[in-house]
This record gives sequence, structure tokens and C-alpha cells, in this order.
Amino acid sequence: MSQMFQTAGLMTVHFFRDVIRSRKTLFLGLLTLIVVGITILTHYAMANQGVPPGYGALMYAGCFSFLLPFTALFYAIAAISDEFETGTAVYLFSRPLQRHGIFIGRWLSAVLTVFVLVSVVNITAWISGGDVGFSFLLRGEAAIFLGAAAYVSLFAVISSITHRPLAVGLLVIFFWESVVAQIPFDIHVLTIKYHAVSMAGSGLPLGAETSVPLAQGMFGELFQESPHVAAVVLSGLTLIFTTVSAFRYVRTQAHRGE
Amino acid sequence: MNEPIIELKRVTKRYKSVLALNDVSLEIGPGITGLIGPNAAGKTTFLGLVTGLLKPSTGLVRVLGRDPIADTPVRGQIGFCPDGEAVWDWMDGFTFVSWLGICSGLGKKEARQRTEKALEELEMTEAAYRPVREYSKGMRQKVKLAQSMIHNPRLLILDEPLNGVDPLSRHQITTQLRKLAAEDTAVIVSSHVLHELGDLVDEVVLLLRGRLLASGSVSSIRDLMDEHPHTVRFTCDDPRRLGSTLLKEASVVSSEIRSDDIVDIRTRAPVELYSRLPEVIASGQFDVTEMANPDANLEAVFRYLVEGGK
Repeated sequence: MSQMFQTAGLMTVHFFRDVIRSRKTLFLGLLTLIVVGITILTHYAMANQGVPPGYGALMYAGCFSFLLPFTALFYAIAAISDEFETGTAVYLFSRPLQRHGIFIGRWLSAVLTVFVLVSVVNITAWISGGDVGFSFLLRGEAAIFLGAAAYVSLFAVISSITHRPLAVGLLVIFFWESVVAQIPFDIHVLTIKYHAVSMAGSGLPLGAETSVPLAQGMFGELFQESPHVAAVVLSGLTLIFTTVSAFRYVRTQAHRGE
Repeated sequence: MNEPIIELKRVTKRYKSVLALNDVSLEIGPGITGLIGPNAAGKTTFLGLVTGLLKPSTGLVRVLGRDPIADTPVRGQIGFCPDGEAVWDWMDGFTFVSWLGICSGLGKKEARQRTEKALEELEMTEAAYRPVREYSKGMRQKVKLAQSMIHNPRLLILDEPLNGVDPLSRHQITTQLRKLAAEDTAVIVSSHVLHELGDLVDEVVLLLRGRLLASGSVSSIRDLMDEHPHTVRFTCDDPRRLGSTLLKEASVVSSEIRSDDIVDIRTRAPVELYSRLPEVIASGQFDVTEMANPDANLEAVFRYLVEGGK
């Protein structure tokens, strides 16, 4: 077991050193800054009209609708598929490293990277959104962490079973997580976004001073699940998806031969 | 043979409908062994099975008596230098080698010391802190070799290490391999051309279309191959003149003009021909731009073995 954690630690360090130099991080870092900019601009634009958007609306639009699943998709692919695509997996898999440890290290690194990027937007939204308590920020952070874990795990499964994880992942984000979530009959409970938003937004005051009709319309029907239930569901989904992807990863043959 | 370092028993490996390795059984002992076969012969699959990168579809693979997939520690006894250009381009050579040393179980300090030594032996000290993406093919091969031997493995496996490497790097790599073999490391080197390995290897394993064609000492395999005309393909400025010049050599059987700049020479004594070539080419002032060994040589041996030549 200790050898597995040693391997995971090595892989975490390696992943961060690898991704910090990648074009992917440059692109997603810029994207994060753009979302931060939009969040601030939205706050001031609406404040000028006399209806400052609340934390909930900014958080929903900035974090959960786009950035969280999008960054999770890219980093899950980087964690699971990239070494195989580039051919460097042979160096890792031919070493005396526990393959579960390699997977855990890379998975955890991807989750942490996504968490840090999306947290920047969340903190900006909290500062811009004004008068809601610090506990809501913490709950938002927890929702982002569990949401990142669930999304990275889902996309890790997709990366491990398809040769086109990016295309399939984008389909999940823009079709399943967005369009399907709007379909009635509670189908939205099958999306990760529903649970992440429920966890972050439940109890957020929807009064005019802290929120806007946008938030009421979007959150009004979504805030039906308690944060505890949402946390349990997100953790459960993470566990299931991680187990499946770890199983697939360990069985992957690093060398596909001639 | 001493206790085998590698043991394969009735190993078959399939990729969906493609049969990459077909019912192969063999044992490989200490010393330097050449794994020879044309493209798609199953060499990389064989090496993948031995390094624990691939799981056999059926059969048994043992390295130092243990299963290289299930038994993680045994992979610490194996050094692997894969084919191809794949490296982490953002790393410098030193980081690449020392980090993989740490992955092999070395402490940070020990990994650094051994990396310094390995890169020095391969004359890579000056380029050690340059990014790997700036390296020539020969330099890449040398850091790949360094990472494979950093942890003093008992078995060193190299997939086409001399492919496309310049003569100086080739000399440095072969010198290093001889040194390691003398220090009791079992070395397996794959190549698609037997004569590329020259006098480096002690034993040879011949693979063709996933089947074990032959295995034994270099001399016995060479004798076997030399019973059949061996083709050497030259790309040069004057193929007709080169063909007629080489026909005067006792070892040459025939020559065939393939195009305006290509001639195929068939010989029954390739080693003799190879040793004579520099002098012949220099004295005739030929401009030879490429020299290749078409895979047909191994096909001929295979046919010879299969069709009753035993």
C-alpha cells in the first residue's frame, strides 16, 4: 500500500511538471482569466442597471455551466490518454511502479488542477456577488472539488474506453449536461451539474439584493436536493467512475506492438 | 545454457484478429542476444511481453523466473529502451534519466550520481542540460539508453537502438552494451537486419510473421543465411558501373539494376562483402547515398526452413 502511495506521489509531481508547461494549461489558464473578466464585467454592467447579480448567478454561470466540466475534460484526457498517445507510457509501465498508483496520482493531479482553476472564478464571483456569508464560499469550493472529482472520473472512463475522448466529452458537456438537464420529469438528476449546483446553491438567498431572476429561474427548480445528499451522490458517482476507469487503466497495454 | 533470464512457453499474442506472436517457446540466457526479424515480425510484441507492457493471449512469460506483469518488483530488474522518438520533450536529458531512475526505485541523490556517470560514459555530459527536443536522433538514443541502465538492471532490452543512428553514436552505444554485457547484464537488442548488429551479439533469435524462425549462435544463423543469396540494395550515382565492379568480387553472385539509381547485389557471403565495400566504393569513387537490406533475405531463409531445406 505504501508503495502505491509513493508511486501516486511521484506521478502527481510529474503530472504537475508536465501540465504546467503544456499548451493545454496555457489555453485553459487564459480561458479561466477570460471567465474571471466576464464575471467582473457582468457584475459592474448589471450593477449599473440597478440589479447587481448575486453570488449564486455568477457562480452558476461562471463555474458550473462551462468551466468546471470543460477543464475537467481536458485534464482527464491529459491524465489518462496523453501518455499512451505520445508513447511515453512505456517508460512508466515498464518500471517497478504500481499501476494503480500511477492512475491515482494522475487522477488526483487532474482533480486538483481543475479545482484550482475553477476556484479562481468562484472566489471572484463571491467577492463580486457581495453580501453572502463565507460559509457559502466554502460550500461552493466543496461543490467545485466534488464536481471536479466526479467530472474527471467520468471523463477518465470515457478516455479509457474510446479513442475519441475529446469529441465524446464535448458531447457530454454540451448535450447531456446542458440540454438534457433542461428536460422535465427530473431527468436532470442524472447530470453531475445538477448535484454540484444543488450542493453549492442550496440555501443561497434568492432575494433581489443578492441575486437576480436569472438565478431564480435557473436555481429555482434545481435547488431541490439538500447539500448533504448532493455531496453523497457526487462522492458515489466519483467512486463508481474512478473504479471503472482505474480498472480499465490498469488493464491497458502500454505497448500496442508493431 | 545457464539458468534462463527469459523463458517463453507456447506464447501467443493477438491484437483482435491480428496474430502478432504465434505459439513461441524459447529461452534466452546471459550475454548479448540479437532479436532479428523484418517489420511486423513480432519483435516489439516480444519485447512488450518480456517487459510487462503486454499480456500474452495464451502461454507463459517469465523473466528471472517471475511474471513481469503481476510481479511489480521484477520490473526493477529490467531496463527497457523503447523504439521511437517518444520522450517528455520539456525535460532536459539529465532530468529525463534521473527521474526515470527515481521511478526505478533509486533515491534522489543516488539517481543524480548514477545519471552523471551514465551520461559521462555515453559522452553526453555537455548536452545533459539541454532540452531533449533539441537532441539529434543519436543523442536521444543515448539518453534513452542511459535511462534504461540507470538502475543497474540484470536484463537490458533495447528495441532497434541502432536504427537511424550516426556512426559515432553507434560506436558509443555498442561499446557501452559490450561493457554492460561484460559486467554480467543480459542484453537483448532487436533489429530488422542481422548484419546491422555485426559482431555485437552472441546469440540470435530470428522471428518472422510472429513465428520463431530459428535461434542459436550468430555463426550458425549466419551460415544458414549465407547458404542463400543475400541482397544488398545500393542507391548510387552509377548503379551499372557499381554492379559490374562488385560482380568481380568473389562473394557476389549477381547484380540487378532496379532503377536509374538503384542496384541490388546478391551475395552468398555478406560479411565478406561488407568488409570489402569501403575499399571498392572508395577506389571506384562511387557516390553511394543509401545501403539497405531488403527484408526478402529473411523471407528466403524462412522459405528455406519451411520448405524442406532442413
